[in-house]
Amino acid sequence: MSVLFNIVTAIIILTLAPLCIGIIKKLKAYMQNRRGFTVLQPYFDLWKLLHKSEVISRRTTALFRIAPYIYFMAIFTAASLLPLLLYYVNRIEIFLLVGLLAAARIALVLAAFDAGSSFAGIGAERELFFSILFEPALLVILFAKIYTSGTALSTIAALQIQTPLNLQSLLAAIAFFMLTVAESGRIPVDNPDTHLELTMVHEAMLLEYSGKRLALITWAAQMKQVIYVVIFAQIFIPWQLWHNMSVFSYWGVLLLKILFMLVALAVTETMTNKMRVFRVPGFMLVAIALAIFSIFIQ
Amino acid sequence: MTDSLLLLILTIYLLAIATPVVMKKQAALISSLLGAIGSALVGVVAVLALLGGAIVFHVDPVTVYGNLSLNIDALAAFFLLLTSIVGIAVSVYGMKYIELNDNPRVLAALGNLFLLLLFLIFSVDNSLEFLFVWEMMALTTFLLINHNYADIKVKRAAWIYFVAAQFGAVFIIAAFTMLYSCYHSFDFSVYKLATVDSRTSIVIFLFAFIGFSIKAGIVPAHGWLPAAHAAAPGNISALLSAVMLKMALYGLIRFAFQFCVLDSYVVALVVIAFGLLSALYGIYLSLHEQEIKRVLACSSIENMGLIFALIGVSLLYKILGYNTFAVLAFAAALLHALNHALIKGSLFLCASTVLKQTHQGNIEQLGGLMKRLPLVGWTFVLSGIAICGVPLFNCFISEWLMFKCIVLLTSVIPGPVGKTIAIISLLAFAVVIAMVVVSFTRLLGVSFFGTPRSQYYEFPDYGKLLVVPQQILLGVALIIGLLPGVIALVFADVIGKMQIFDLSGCTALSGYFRLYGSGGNYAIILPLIITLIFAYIVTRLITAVGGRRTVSVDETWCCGNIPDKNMQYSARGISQPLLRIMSNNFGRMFENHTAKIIERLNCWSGYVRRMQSGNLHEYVTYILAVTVILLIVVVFI
Repeated sequence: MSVLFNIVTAIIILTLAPLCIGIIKKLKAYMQNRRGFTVLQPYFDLWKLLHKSEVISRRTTALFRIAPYIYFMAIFTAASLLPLLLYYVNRIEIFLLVGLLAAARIALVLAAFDAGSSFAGIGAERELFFSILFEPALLVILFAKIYTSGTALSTIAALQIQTPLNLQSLLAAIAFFMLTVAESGRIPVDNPDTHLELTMVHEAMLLEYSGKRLALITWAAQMKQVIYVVIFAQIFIPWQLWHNMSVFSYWGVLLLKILFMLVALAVTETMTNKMRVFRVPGFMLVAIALAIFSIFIQ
Repeated sequence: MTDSLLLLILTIYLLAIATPVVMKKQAALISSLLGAIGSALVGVVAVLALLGGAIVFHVDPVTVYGNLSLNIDALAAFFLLLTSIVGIAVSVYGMKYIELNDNPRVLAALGNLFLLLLFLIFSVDNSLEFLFVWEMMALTTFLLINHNYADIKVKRAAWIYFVAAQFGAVFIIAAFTMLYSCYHSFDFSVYKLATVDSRTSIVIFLFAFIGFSIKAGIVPAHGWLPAAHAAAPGNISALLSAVMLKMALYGLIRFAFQFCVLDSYVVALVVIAFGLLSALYGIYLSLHEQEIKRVLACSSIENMGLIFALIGVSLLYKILGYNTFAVLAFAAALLHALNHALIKGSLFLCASTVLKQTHQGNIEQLGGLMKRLPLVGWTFVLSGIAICGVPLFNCFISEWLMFKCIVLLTSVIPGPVGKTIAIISLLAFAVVIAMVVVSFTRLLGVSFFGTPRSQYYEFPDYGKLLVVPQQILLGVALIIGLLPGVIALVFADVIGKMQIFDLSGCTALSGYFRLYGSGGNYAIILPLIITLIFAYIVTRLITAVGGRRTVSVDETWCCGNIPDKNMQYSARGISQPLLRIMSNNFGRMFENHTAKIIERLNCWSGYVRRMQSGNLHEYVTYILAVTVILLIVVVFI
């Protein structure tokens, strides 16, 4: 029956992911003195894409057609593992989450090579380039939290309720925030709004996609960003305000934490410039170093 | 019954070796068939040994085979099972593949001799026999690697391999000699009593470790490995990577857990360090390579490194007295060895099919193979994805167990020491698994997808025999990936029978194989599958929105230009930024270095070779000189 809780978690994240992206976009627009679209715009975009017809390159193989499904399924399953419904403590291995995200990445990268276009190739190459820094960073930063509590996600989250705010958790939180910025393809690392091929990473891989398949990938990518946001809120903002909370206040606090994270992302994106590709390793190494410090401080 | 079964295996293998020597027509086919039957029987023996306990077999010197004593205990049986599965696939593959090569009869005979020696090396229980088989194997594999000797590169690779193998054998012989001087016996059963004092043990173990590391291609002794795997014929390189490297693992396990009494955990740390170093460096090298088989071979260095590191972790836990964790790490090592054998066997067989079909081993010249060779293509892609450690595939389970073992380090060694060891191991491990993804998506993406980068001349139809064997291997691998719970129970049983660890007071292994906290022993992966199925239904529902829309096929978008094959990203282009941040200077330093040392050794041995003129008078003079010197020594000292 525990699977049911996982699926409910995934569905909550699925439905709220476009909203989170919409909120970030709206906040960004305010900070840039624009009025911006409505918060619901990402839903409208998905709706529009689902009603479009598709064009597929004649150079592609079957993998190109199934890759969006694999990408979506992997990320949906990854979302189902999150410790969102803490009432039901399900000890899920953290490594499964890492593996599923890697699976999603592999599907998209192989599909990018499939069409034989140079833009998709450059996107795939950069995605791979970043991945060898992001994945170790994810594991090491999570390690800062798990080496005291075991490798199950919900146990870690449950333990964080009692953790006070200290330097150790602060450093780990900063490190994970840097990773979230990088993994969600936001400005210091990647630009989600650009349509200039040479500056894109994630978007470049999707150039050959259109219609329903593009909708699937876009939605899944939004879920992926929200996965990081939720992990941050549940594990890296360590203190819950009350220990024994009612359902209502639990969700209230959680939503506040997520909202705080969205604001932080929007502010970072507005205040920083995009880095050169070869600067990103340094950025990620700083995150890893912070995580290592936080492990040694304790 | 088992005695006659073992005799039958030996007879079948000998027949398989003899057939190509005697027969001319269809020799390769019959010989490979016999090899496959022999391998299957080896599997039967291994299963019998795993179910019923050690199989002992002794033949008196009067029989045709000479003095031979075999003792198949649980550890040997595990490796025999691995040999059997890969052996069957490779033999079936050989039924068609061997005749496509030059000198098929030589290849068939030597290939089966190789299989026979692999069977013997895991089952002998006597150090002299072990060393004899070990040396025979070095010689046989040298001849096999040198099969296409007309190519100067092949010749060089074979010689480098041979020198490296001999260099490693020196250390192994030294280790066994020291064991003999401790026990005054050649029998493994005596060694297993493990009564050596710990100081001698460390020396013996280090010698054995160096020797077996050279055989396993552990950095910095990996120089021979990529070249040798690339030079060997396809079926042989599959055997080399899938089974022969595991032979070194088998020897290491025997020494680390049975023959030596180690009580200093620094030794274990040395094993971990070298293992992780070669994992990192192996996968780093694979990003440099443009040839399919060399990429795969470098990935073998990486995997052997991970397995050695796991053995080190297991040793560390055992020395510190945490038997449960030691069993966990040991199970992870064995499982990863099995996974690597299956997947790498499949990948090498696929690569050799691609080579035979396209006559092109350079990935920069390949591309779009998926359309031309869909069956091989899908097998290759699925195997490649499996080795990347994607959930539902087998390598994911062993990598996940490795992650657990590393995280547990902090709870065993308290304080900053434990944290440092754990963080360094974790970083190395994480970079390795991320780089495996890069290396394999690069290999798959460039050679199987996109448009062809060069003109292929022919795609002859060689039938199913060049595809089915690797699909069998992949199938077994997939089953392992889907049934981690069963694997946990089986491994717990097998490791219990190996009698390496003190299992009293250990928690059950299957408890550590839980991906989801709940669920029975068999249904570990079931919640994942249910969620995936549900996710699939969700994708169907989402795409159903907006009704059915047309999907038209058109040209790849290329800013209005006509796409050209040269516009695609090249393999070198994909790895360039990675290599750039990891400093190009580091580059192939190691490999060139070892190759240079080996060539220097070869050169020096040239001076020694001058003694061997082949002139009988000279040898008589040598004997005379030695006698005189000995007399002088005896009389005066």
